[in-house]
Amino acid sequence: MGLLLLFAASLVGCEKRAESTEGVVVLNVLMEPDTTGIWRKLFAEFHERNPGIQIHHVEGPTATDAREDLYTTSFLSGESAYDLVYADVVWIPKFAAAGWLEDLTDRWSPSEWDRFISGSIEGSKYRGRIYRVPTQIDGAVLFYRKDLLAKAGERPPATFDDLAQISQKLQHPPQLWGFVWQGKQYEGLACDFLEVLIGYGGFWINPDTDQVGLDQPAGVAALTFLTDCVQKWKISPPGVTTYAEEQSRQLFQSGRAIFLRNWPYVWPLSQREESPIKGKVGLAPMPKSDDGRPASTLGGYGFAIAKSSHHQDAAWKFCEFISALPQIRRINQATAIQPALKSFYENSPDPVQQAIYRVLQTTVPRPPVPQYAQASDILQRYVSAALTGRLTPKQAMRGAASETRLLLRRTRTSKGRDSHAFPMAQLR
Amino acid sequence: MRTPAHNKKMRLEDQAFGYLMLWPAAIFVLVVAVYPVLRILWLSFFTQNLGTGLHPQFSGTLNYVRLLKDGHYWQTMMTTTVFTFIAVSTELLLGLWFALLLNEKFHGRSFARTATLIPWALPTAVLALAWAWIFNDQSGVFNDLMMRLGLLSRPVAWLGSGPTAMFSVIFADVWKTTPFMMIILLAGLQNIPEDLYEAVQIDGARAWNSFRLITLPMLMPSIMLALLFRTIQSFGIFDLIFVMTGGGPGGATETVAIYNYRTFLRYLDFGYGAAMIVVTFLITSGICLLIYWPLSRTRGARALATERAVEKSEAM
Repeated sequence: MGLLLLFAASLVGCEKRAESTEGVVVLNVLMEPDTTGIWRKLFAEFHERNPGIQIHHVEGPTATDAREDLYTTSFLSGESAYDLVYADVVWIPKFAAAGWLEDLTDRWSPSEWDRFISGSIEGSKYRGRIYRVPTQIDGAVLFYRKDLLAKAGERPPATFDDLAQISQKLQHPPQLWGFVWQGKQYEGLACDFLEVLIGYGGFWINPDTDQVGLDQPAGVAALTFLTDCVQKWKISPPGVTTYAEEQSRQLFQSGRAIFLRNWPYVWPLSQREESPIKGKVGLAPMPKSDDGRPASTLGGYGFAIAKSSHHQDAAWKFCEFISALPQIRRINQATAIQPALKSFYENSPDPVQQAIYRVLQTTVPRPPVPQYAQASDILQRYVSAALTGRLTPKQAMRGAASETRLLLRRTRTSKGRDSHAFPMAQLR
Repeated sequence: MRTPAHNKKMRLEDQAFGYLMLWPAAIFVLVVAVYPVLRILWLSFFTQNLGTGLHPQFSGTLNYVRLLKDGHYWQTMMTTTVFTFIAVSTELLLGLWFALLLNEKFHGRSFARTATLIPWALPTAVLALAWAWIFNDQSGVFNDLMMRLGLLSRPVAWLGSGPTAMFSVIFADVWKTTPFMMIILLAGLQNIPEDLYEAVQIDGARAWNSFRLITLPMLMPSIMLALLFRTIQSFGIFDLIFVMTGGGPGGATETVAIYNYRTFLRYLDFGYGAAMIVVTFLITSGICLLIYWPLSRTRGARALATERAVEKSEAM
């Protein structure tokens, strides 16, 4: 295993940087495959406007984690093969703490940064500094069956109790389930749980004090709600504990669920010609309890600049180009991903975009701590154990909280030190 | 005719040449196997993670003490052991059975031999994704099949609880790697000389006895090889489980390799990850020795028994 890791690391290290000789700067970026061709067009257009700079798109795997690993091994080798990092929100604290990303805070004035939805800027920060220009934003949406709710004279649920009641009233499993979401032990589960946790007025980790709030009453209440969905009320199919996004979407799209928690990508798919639920779907923010607020876990991508890049200014030029409204609009048209730019929504006549915009304003970032990946794994493991009946919600939250505290204590980073003063990795 | 002295000189030259030819391989092994192992051992005495700004700081045996107290590590070790034990022994029995069948002469044998190898040849990550869908509770083929056969009254979320998820990943692993067992055992079977069987047949031995007295003891080296191969491989199981369950639910199928990968690449906790590799390596070696010893003994005993049986039949 270890041999393999080292071997992989050395392979990435050997990878040749694409660099042209005739005075043209080549910027390397690892992204998912360009299935729509939109990126190729935009890169070409950027090159036309800036003949001295060329973007080289290295096509990576579609799985976020796999691309994160590729960036990680590349950075660990010291001289990163990439100048630009097309970064998911959750990578930022880790990559910034490791000293791999360039601090971009002062490249723009506060009012320029303010052009983006606040959640997406929060998700680009580590210890108060901004490391990423957000281009895409994701936030969880509660999709519901307009037709079924209207027939029963119900409104979209504002609270978790409403959600459970409407589900119990209208469902008739296994043909029609109440509420489907992502209960598999993976990153999606941490997202789903975070929304309910904040909805109940709780918190996960306070990044300033390293306090952990999972074992407080709100944490237990949140987990009890999710557990009850499966075990007590049976409004979620038993298999929900194995579902990721696609499994839950397919159940909803085949017309077999009333509510679905998922990302905005579901909307265009559900409105396709062949979709049995075309025209029958509504969008709402996630529900809350009396003590909390509706919350939608923040996701999405943006461009960061590798500290080891020799072409910082060229890379910044690209960040400015790609985050401008005309380009953002074209990306949205081609791929249906949600832009992080406020002006996109303010000028949009589309009511669905307005509904999504309302949801995106409730986005909350996952805890911006460098150890996030591990904190998330701990939470996923315990939440999953409670959902499958191996632990009670109270036991699970206690276990998760104490393991998380141990983790934060063990790898406590000194708060006084300037984070981007950390030198490069010494693994060579 | 060559003089003895001449011969000796030639032998020496041959030897020197032999050593010379060994060099490339030796260097390769040093760089690819020995260096990383030593590097990992060295790293395991340092703390190097996000808390130290990825700087290595000497911390003695701290990582090992931490590992000793890390309940999660021991849980993944237990999971891996259970997985390995059940999967490998099932694969051995099925593999032996298939090998015996495919060793018989029948119409379309070579087609059958090739066909059984397909699961082994396909990429694991793709298969794992397919198996995850097969075990899906709402639209999975497995549930549909079981319900049609009347073995289940309602669909089960196979990957949704600890024991059934474990069953599912073992099922998928057995399906995928039994052909590997089979091909090694089949090669072993083909090495058994026909006249041994003739000898015991003359002695009046029936099928079971010829299997017990000839096939099994003669096959023992192949069985041992396959068993060792598969045990080592299975202890490092990663891709199949990672794609099917991600180690869930509730960590019920998380193996040592998955936890190790996460510690290294996702948590960037290098010193601790290195200690984990060292300890896992020692435990795996110990288990391999445990398999090797009793087997090598029975092998000796069986070989002796066979010899006697053959002698007896020859004496008659």
